[in-house]
Amino acid sequence: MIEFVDPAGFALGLAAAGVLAAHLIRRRARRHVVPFLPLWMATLAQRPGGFGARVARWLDLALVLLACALVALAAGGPRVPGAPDRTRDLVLVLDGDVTLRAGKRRANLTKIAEAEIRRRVRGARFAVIGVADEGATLWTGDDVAGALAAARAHEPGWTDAPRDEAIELARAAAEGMRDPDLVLVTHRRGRVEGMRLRTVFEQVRNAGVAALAVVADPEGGGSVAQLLVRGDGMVSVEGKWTGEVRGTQDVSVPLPDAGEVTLVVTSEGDGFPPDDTAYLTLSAPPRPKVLVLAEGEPSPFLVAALQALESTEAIQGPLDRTTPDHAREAAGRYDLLVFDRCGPPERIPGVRALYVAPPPGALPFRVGDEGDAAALFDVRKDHPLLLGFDFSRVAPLRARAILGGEAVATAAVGPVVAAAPGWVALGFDPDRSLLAASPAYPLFLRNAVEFLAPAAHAERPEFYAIGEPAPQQGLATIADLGTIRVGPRLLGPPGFWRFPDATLAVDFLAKDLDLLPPDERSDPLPGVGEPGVPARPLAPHFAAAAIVLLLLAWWAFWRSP
Amino acid sequence: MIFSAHEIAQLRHLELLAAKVVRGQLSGERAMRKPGPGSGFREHRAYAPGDALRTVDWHAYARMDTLVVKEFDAEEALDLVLLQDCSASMQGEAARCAAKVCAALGAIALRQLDRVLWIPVGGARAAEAFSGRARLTDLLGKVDAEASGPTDLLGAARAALPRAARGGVAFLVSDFFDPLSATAALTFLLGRRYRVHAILVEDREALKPPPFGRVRLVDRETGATRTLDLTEQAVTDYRRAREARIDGLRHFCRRGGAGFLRVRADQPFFEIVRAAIARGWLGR
Repeated sequence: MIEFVDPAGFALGLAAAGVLAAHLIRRRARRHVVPFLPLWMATLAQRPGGFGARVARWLDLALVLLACALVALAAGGPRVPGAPDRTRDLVLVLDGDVTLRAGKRRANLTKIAEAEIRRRVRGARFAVIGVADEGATLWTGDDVAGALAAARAHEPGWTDAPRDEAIELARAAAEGMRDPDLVLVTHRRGRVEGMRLRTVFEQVRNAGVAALAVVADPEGGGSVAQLLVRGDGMVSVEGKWTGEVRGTQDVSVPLPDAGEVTLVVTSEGDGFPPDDTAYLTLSAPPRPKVLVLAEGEPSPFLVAALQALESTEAIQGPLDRTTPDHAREAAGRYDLLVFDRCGPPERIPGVRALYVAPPPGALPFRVGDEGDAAALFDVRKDHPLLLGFDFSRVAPLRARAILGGEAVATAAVGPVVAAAPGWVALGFDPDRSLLAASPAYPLFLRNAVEFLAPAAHAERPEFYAIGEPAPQQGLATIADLGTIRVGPRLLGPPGFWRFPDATLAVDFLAKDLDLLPPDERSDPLPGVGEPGVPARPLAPHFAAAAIVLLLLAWWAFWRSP
Repeated sequence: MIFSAHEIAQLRHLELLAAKVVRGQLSGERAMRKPGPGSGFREHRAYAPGDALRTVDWHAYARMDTLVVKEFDAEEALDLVLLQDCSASMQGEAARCAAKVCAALGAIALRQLDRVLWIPVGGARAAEAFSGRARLTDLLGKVDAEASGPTDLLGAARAALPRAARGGVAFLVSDFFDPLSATAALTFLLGRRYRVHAILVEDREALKPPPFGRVRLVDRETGATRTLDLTEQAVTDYRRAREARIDGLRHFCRRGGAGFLRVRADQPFFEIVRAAIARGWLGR
């Protein structure tokens, strides 16, 4: 493709070429006087205007015209147009998840993210959308430093809820841009991965299972595997569900009390390679398990209070099963044992237990004689067991002193609330107490569970790195066969980003994730801005070609013998 | 004046060499091979009745007591025929060259008291005879003639030479672009017992072919025109024809005993003179 710098010069050159062409066409034979014409008789024997002569004459004219045309083109300033600096319109969705800043890799991930942003947005007009607890437009413009400062100031949070809102923001920011690229900056396997988002309908025809996510079902108490499927292929969930899936399909999977459920997802004619299988591993959410042990029926008030705790799984156990073996077994299976007005037949090492009005026995503390306790005094209000309520107004009436551990509240008989690592003891029965014991009891139980069974929470990190195997009682994971693993937080329920007119899906690069085969229509991720190519002038070449043609014509037709 | 003073001074030392004895009606400086009136001593012979007494060598009679008579070589004038091509084909440099050659030959002859017959071929002037050194100026004025008309060597020679011409030396200075009578004129002169020398004058600039392309050729003498597309092959054919014509003329002269000299029109005159000397036509 050639453009002309000076069209006027080009027109002038064409006019000159036309004049010269007319002149050449009208040109007649040159007159030449010779001393003795008969010397040319041998030459004159050749018929003037023969075929060869006509060809030569027209060839001469063609050469001259071509040379003139080249001169005219050269006068027009031809050049090969260069390419301008390649700038991109970019909507950069910054994952503000705490996972990006979590754990020991916080600093590294942040730095990597910033470097990635710098690399992605160089030479681009871009908008930065932060995704955290709330979507927010952090920056719009082309100032990388400003965008990074805004990103750093962005408060991290969990990304579960508001990604639709963030996408709306991204969509609004993309208006007015020219074919913008949506880039999600998040992490995977400890490194930042830019993933290009694009409309499934337009560019990812064979996306197949474009995303697979697991969300917690807030109503059913279980989990929901949500498949976003595009295409007419069959998708089967092994053992649980089989059917033709179009669009978005929710598949409910009941979870067992323990263990895990594996969903094998295959589809035909979709984006998965034929030999590829995605595994969805679902695990029960980690909740501390509490076993209530009592002589006979446990206190309904106690059971109701434990069941009110969402994160606690309370199980009632009969007294006759409080044998030493049973208690020892229960200590290994449950996070917390609650002895309701009873005690273990023997001491169980390592057990975490809450003792409510325990009688003397095999306890880790001593129990005093029962006496009157009209009121509690010397209450330690800053103790974790007493957070959220006031125990000083409780009137236990009758109580036993708890001799051992740390005294939390004291009555006339001595310490009636005590705590130590592994146990908490309450020296009176809340059911038989007066005043404010009843409303404070659920809060005390919550504090006691948090105090005694913190290990269950500590073992469950708030963030699992993508690809890390989820421990039992941990979060669900989705694993591709072999080397690639992606997690629900990456895809997540917010992974389905829907626009009113199209659905955006996370487009994994096949070479990175082995989820999608290479699509020739799929452009690679936008890289750095590319410098433009300067225009290359062609006038010297044209002029040189014209000179060559004229020299050729001169050599063939004009030169003197 | 076609000759400069320096060129005339150079010509003074040149001498026309006649290859054979020719008869002359004037007493020129050319010695004959028979006794006659002259200044050059030839031989003594015995006195015979009728001999003039003034021819008796009395000194020899005193020494030998025998009457002997001194004989001298007769001195006769040489007839020099100059056929100068003044046709239209000899325009420009060729015409000037031919005029200088003829003027030089004529000047040398007149200086030796020979008789010069100048015959123009073409042109507007008529043939004229010159004798005596005083006519040199007239001769130089004649040879510097304007070139025009066709070339007819045979016609000009026939018209100018009398039937009773007794021979001599004839120079044909021409481009020999006479399609009909170039060789006929040479034959005619040889038949009249002339020692013939042909000097071919070539104006190579005028003979240079025009640039390639379509060209209309115009004959300078006749005005005839022909149009052709001049190509390299055509030029080659033209050059070949020209050389063939010159070779034919050279061979004809060699067979007839005539001299042949090919000169360039822009060649310095004295180079031509030296070439003539090398061929034995001129001497000091």
